[in-house]
Parts: sequence; structure tokens; C-alpha cells
Amino acid sequence: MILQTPILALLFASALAGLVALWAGWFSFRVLRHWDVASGSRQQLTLERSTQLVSTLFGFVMLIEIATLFLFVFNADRMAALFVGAMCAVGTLNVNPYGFPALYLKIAVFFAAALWLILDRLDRAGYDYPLTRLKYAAILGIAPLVLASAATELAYFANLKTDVITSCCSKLYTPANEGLVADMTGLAPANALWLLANAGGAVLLSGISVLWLGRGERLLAFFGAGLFFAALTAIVSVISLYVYDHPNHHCPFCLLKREYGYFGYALYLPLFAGTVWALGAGLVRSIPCGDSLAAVVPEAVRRLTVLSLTAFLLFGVAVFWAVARSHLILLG
Amino acid sequence: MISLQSVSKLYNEGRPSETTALSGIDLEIARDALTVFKGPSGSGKTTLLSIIACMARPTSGRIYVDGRMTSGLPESFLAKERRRTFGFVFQRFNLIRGLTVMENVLLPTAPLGGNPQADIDRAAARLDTLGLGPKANVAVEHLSGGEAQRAAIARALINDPPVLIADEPTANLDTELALRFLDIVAGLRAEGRAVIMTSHDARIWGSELVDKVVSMRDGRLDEGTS
Repeated sequence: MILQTPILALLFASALAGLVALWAGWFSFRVLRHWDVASGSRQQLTLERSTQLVSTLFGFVMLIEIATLFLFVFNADRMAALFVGAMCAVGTLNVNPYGFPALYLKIAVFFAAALWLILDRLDRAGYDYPLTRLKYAAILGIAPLVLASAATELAYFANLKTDVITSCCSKLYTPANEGLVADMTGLAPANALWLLANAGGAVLLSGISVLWLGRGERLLAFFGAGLFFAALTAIVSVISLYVYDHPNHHCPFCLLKREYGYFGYALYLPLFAGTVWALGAGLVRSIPCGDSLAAVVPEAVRRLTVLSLTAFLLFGVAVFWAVARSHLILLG
Repeated sequence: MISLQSVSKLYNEGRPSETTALSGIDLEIARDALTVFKGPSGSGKTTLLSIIACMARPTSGRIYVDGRMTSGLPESFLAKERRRTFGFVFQRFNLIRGLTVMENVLLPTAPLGGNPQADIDRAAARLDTLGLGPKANVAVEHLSGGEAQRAAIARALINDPPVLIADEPTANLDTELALRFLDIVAGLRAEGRAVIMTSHDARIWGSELVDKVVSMRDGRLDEGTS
């Protein structure tokens, strides 16, 4: 293992999140078995008081999990200097078989954590614990994910060996390979931008529908998820080419490097945030809400929609800026 | 208006020093009524007042105020309920020394963030009603016992709560002031407020102005009280 500060911070955060997830998972079983808001029993009142503490602590580690996704990627890129053959995060994540699974699990935890936080915030807005059972049922789903992420991350960092010769991003992100990544890389730039523009248009229309007509939240969530994948495809297929001013450099991780002005963060932060908020709008509209949330839900949906559209707009601006400032001519 | 169902309260729960302060209290308290809890020291009167006023949580049981369950409210809602529904007069009045009567009376308006001038006008009107208008700018440490009590009542009423709760409000007052207090309370009841208080004082619970006397002993209601 390489004992460096970011690695220790990531491992500490994962261990903390794992412990809290275990504790919250155990508490969730109690809530699901014994929760009865109509009862005034001692057990119910104890559970009501404890939910405040458990929710706060679990929410805190979920915030940490969200932040550590970006620290994990930043650290992976930073470590490239340590491994022969590595040029960016791709090389370091390829050093052992746990790197990319750890990243994918962290992304899954990111979305689960963000959606749980939205659920938690909504639950706290109701005076009668309207979503408490649902919130704790969700913890039972998230806790194993957090533990799997922590275990994979530990396996990844524990098996980092600096004498391993790894492969750089040009070996992975090339149309010459087979599989999904190669298909994304090989997609024609015009088609990738067309796909991105259509997905963005669908999100915009569904967002306007939510704001003006008060319906279409689930469509917004669906199109938001679609835009996320379309954007990732476009980044690999075409946007990265514009950023690098290079017709064959498709890596989505080199964008995060200093020599490209950390431009990747300007793409990924609004993209991930916009997707979470779009999914959140759909989630909030889909859950059954009682009287105590009747006035809160429409406002929450509206706010999530505005946030989502704003974040996607920022992503669009970043894409437009990347294309506009590039000297590369791919179309026309 | 206020309904208590099987309310119990333990202190130091699960420890050797565990104490049962309240046990299985079922009680209905009407609006526009003066209700007095009487009983010896340690019978649970103050604990019951604190629980009704959302200043403490029961160990078990439910409390409803105008049909709204208050005993299980999350903390943020509990604070709002407390501010909106209850005014509290403490046994020792708990006025803040160094501040004037007006400043003390205005304190509960601060978290609500209303119009400051309207708050001042309302406080002045309430102090006039209670005969404290000339003392509005006097520091509270210079008030007599009766004046301090009326200042505490003015502070409890500044946010216009529908329920006034008073814990032994006449404990330190002579007979004349105690009866004056009852007159004030009768006026508040006439305004449509529920007044709930504890008292050892036979002058209080023996008064014809009192609508209901609830006897307590060892954390329970005496037979026949509900």
C-alpha cells in the first residue's frame, strides 16, 4: 500500500462510512419492524428520537461519500506519476483489477447518497415523519453498496504496487478495441453531438413542462439519466478531442489534469449534479406523500427542476466553450 | 383542546436512579378554561406542565393540541409549536436582569422575525393592560414581586399564544397579589385562552374563577380526575 495523505483520507472516510452504514442498517431493521407512528409506546418514542440522530449521522457520511468520489478521481490522476506507463487516472485504475470497480461503486454510492439526502430533506420537512420508513428501507439498500465500495477501495489501495507496468488511456479509449467503451469512442462526432443535443433538448422540454404545467417530473428524471449517458458518450467520442485539440485522444480522465486546466471538473460536476437533481425531481414526485408534505412537494420538485436545468445549462456552456475555443475542425 | 393519552415520564431511564415522574396520565383540558394542577411537591405537576408545553418529551404516550399531535414532533416543528401555542410563566419568572421590562417582553418575538415596531406597539399595549406601562423602561431588577410577575405574564403573552402555562405563579406573592393574579387570569380566559397552572395555594384552587382542579400524587392523577 502507498501511504499518502489522500489515500489515508479516502480509506478513513470509507471506514467511517462503512461503520455508520452498518449501524444505520441495524437501526433500519428496528424501524421497519417496530415503526408505528400512531402508537405512543415507549419503543416508538425512542425510535422517533433516535431517527434524528441516525439520519443526521448517516446524512453526514453520505455527504462525505459524495465528496470522496471527486477526491478518489483526483487522487487516481495524481498517482499517475508513480506508475510506469500511466499517463492519467486510467493507468492508475488499471494497476490492479480493483481500480475501475472501485470507481464504478463510488459513482453508484454518489447517486444513491445524493438521492437519499433529497429523501431525508423532504422527510424532515414533514411534521409526522412522512418518509421515515421509506428512508430507512433505502438505507438497507445503500448500506451494502457503501460496504462493497469501502471493501473494493481498500482492496485497490492495498494492492497498489509501483513495480507494475500499467497501460495508458490510449490503449483503452480507442475504437480499435471491442466492447462498450470502444463503441463510445468510435461513435462519429456528429452523431455523438446529435445524441447529446437531442438528450439536452428532451431534458429542457420536460423541465419546462414541470415548471409551467406542473407535470413531467418522471420524464425529466428519465431524460436526465439519458442525458448523463449521452454526455459521457459525447465526452469520450468528441468533446475530449476538442479539449485536447487532438483527433485521436479520447480519454475522459486526462480532462481532469492540470495541463488542461482541470477542465474535466467543469464538465463532470454540473453533469453529475444535474443528473442527481433530475432524478431527485422524479423521485420526489413518485413517492406517496401525506398531508404534511402536500405543500412541500411541489416546491421541492420545482426547486430540483430549476437546479437540474441550471446544472445542465452549465454543462452545455462548458461543452460549447470547449468546442468554440478549440483549433480542431471535426465537422464541416 | 389539549388531550393527553397514557402519558408517562421517566427520568434517568435505565439507570439505578430511574424515577417515574408521571405514569399513565389521561386528561382532557378545555379551551377557555382555567385548569389548576394541585398536589404535593414531587407529585409531577411541573413535569406535566413542561410536557404539555413541549419543553420536555414524554417517555411514552401522546399529546394532542387542537388535534395536532405534539408529543412526537421532530425538534424543528416542536420549537415552532412551542412558540406559536404556548406562553410560559415560570415560578421565579426568569426575567433577564439588566434588561428593561420592555426588552424582556420583546424577547420571544425575536425568533419569529416579525415587524419590530408592531411588536413594540403590542408589548406596550399589553403592559398598559397589566398596569405596567409606566415601568416599561425600568430594569427588571427594580420591580416588585407583583410587577415582576405581571412582566412575566406580558412576556408569555407577547406572541398571542392560545395557551398560557404558569408554574406556581403565586408562590412568592401575598394574598392581595395572588388574587390580583387570578383577576388577570380570568381576563385572559375571557380573551379565549386556556390557562393551565400548578399551585400549592388554596387561595388559587379554592377560587370560584377556577374551572377545573386536577389533583396529582406520585405522578398519577387522583381518583376522579380526568
